[in-house]
Amino acid sequence: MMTQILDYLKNLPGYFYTSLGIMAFIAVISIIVGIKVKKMDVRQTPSKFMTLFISLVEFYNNMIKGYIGKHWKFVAPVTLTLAIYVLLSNISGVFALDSPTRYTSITFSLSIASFIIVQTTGFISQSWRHLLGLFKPLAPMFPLNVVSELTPIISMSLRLFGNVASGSVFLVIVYRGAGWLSIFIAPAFHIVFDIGFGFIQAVVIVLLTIIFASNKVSESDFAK
Amino acid sequence: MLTLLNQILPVILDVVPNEFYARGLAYIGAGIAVFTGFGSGIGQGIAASKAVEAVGRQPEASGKITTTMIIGQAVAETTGLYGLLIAFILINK
Repeated sequence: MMTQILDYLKNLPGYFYTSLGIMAFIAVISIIVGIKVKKMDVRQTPSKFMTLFISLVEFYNNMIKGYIGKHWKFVAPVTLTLAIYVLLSNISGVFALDSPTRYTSITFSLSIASFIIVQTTGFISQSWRHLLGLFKPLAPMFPLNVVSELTPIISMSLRLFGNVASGSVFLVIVYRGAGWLSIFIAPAFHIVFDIGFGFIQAVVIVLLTIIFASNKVSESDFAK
Repeated sequence: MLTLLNQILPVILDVVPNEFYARGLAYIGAGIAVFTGFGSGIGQGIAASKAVEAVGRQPEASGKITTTMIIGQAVAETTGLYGLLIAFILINK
């Protein structure tokens, strides 16, 4: 029993450790920020480090309030965590790490998480009446509605996986083809494929989650 | 041209279906599968051109237009990525 567990832990793939490292990094940064926020004095001006985080959270909360309305307090922290994790793991290719979003197991679990966020938002906003949305225009539409709820899991995970994997395949071609010249050539491709496309994909997966969630919110919650 | 064809044709017709044959056909299939990028590229170009027109007509709404354009392009890109996925599967065959 113990040897089986040890064998399992020894043979974990490399991207798993990258994912754990990114999560530890996010956890450490957020704990530091949380302690500093608790100790903050009203009369003093915050430091530059704190101003960055305060303005980021302020901007993000205002954006979520525009989309979700009254129940933004559930959606904002979860989706911000998702955004930071996806962004950091897309960028981690720059630091010569094995980026976790290159593998379907990680992206599939991320899209299942986004599906759970969307459905939970619906249940918080409309309680059990959220399930009536499956029969919305007409009762015979039920199977079609179920399929249209479930297909975003597949399409979201494959979108993230395909973008990051195609970028990394292209970078492998550049490194093989250019040889030692890749010192000069590769950084430009890293900027485009790791940072540029990684940022766009992080924005896309989070915005799609928020938009799907805002479809589940009942109309009365938007009124102040 | 005809002499070249005469040289090549017997080679093509006498082909033996061994394991290399299947592998080569899988590579050709991967090449055809990547051709799905044709349609999604046209779709993304149309979305970008319409966004440019919209910004020209209403410059103050450029932030919202850019976000909507990126979302639409990402959704359109998914079709091309399915072809890429099939190509990955065929290459590793």
